[in-house]
Amino acid sequence: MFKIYVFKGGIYRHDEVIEEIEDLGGIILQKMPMQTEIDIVFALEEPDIEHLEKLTKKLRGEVIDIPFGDMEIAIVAPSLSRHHLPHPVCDLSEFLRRYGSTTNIIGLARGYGKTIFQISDKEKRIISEHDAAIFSYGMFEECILIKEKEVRDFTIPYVLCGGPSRIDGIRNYIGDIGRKPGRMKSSEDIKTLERVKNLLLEMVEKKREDISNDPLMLPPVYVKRALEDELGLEGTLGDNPIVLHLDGVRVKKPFNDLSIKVADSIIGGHRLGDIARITRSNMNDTIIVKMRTKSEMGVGA
Amino acid sequence: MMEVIVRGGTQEENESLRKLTEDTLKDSGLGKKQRKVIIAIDIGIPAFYMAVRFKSDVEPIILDNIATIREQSNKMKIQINQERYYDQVIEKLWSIYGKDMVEQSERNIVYLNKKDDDIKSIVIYDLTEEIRERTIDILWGILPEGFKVRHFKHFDDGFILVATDVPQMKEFYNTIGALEQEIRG
Repeated sequence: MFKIYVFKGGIYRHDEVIEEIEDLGGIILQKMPMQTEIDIVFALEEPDIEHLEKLTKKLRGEVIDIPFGDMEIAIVAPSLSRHHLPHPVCDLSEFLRRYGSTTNIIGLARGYGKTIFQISDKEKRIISEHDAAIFSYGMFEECILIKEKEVRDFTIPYVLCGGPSRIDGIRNYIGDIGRKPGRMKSSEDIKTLERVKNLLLEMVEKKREDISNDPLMLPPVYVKRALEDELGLEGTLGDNPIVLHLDGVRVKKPFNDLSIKVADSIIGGHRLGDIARITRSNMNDTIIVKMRTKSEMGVGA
Repeated sequence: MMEVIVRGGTQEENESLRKLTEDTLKDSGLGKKQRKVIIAIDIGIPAFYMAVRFKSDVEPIILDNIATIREQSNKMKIQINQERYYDQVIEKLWSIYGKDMVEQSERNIVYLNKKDDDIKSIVIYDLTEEIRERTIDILWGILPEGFKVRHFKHFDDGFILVATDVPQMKEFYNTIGALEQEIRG
């Protein structure tokens, strides 16, 4: 299965790195030159990384694993008010972005209160479109226990964050977050954010294992690159029109405008519409492409 | 020094809310203006009670402090001596006597078209009221957001607030009474 990495090194001879990545069957996702330095974000099969590292070591560069680079994560707040934003929700979002994730902050329409709290069906569908979710709740155990019941049915990996350091009886919980008056920048806060990241990583690894046991028809990075070339959707630093998911991509263009072209794209000798489910997203009318697995298509592993 | 007391939740919850309240009031510059804050949590109902008492160490500014007032042919001549209060004096006189009764002949001279000895004690600016408004504004950021059913009881140097997400109940008023006694001493 492809994983996402970033090469950080000098601009001198970086073309050799690019050539090596492509020779190993990898895909270059982004290049960010900054005067004499360059960052290259790429996707490569995990077993091949040590071949690349032989070259990068020679060039005094480093290759860093960005474990959430092929994921879109929802950070769910009870609402978009000063109680939850920017602290701690934006702190959680920023921290996960450092590990490569594309994050979306979702403010529930009525996620606050104790007796009036709800997550609507549409909100659940929007959250379920992501690869994982982080729910950021408040500081009272009794409230968190009530809100946890609504979250249990999600099939995507999720982490529940709250104030009490420990709550018995709920899974995937990280405490010491809750309500924060300021930015989470102390060493204890950073350790807490690391705990969130590590728990999420653990849960996502299980999903990756499932995917590698029943591989997808095409790797999502390959589909992303092919769609970018075919439809002319090259991104920039500030705009990424095709976002990776673990099992597909999200094309951030209106469904009515581009869904047919996306479905008719020929990638790896297949029509994309035949090897993937292409649906309208519940979020901003974008296009969700979910790759079918080889077992679904009756193709040998 | 501001005293913040939180009770009703677990020790961790109380401490967490206490710290949030203290930090938020200090960051807003209102920490030094508060004498005492008591937060009582009843998570079962649920309801939050907040009792706040300000430090009332600043007297309100009355018209006599900032203006020279003289009777002049059945009118009162008010010469405002401090420029920063010009607007507030006129606004206050309009609200009490009506626009017809107030004439501004020069920038700092205002005539009231009647005799009134009580004019000297009109409050032009009350810092306590400003602190009250700013504290209430800050409280909305401290109290849980979903507790939108709110009831206030104001007194001279503070107030009691109950916030809940259920319709108001009689029990609230008993607790408000007890808190008022506690915070006013």
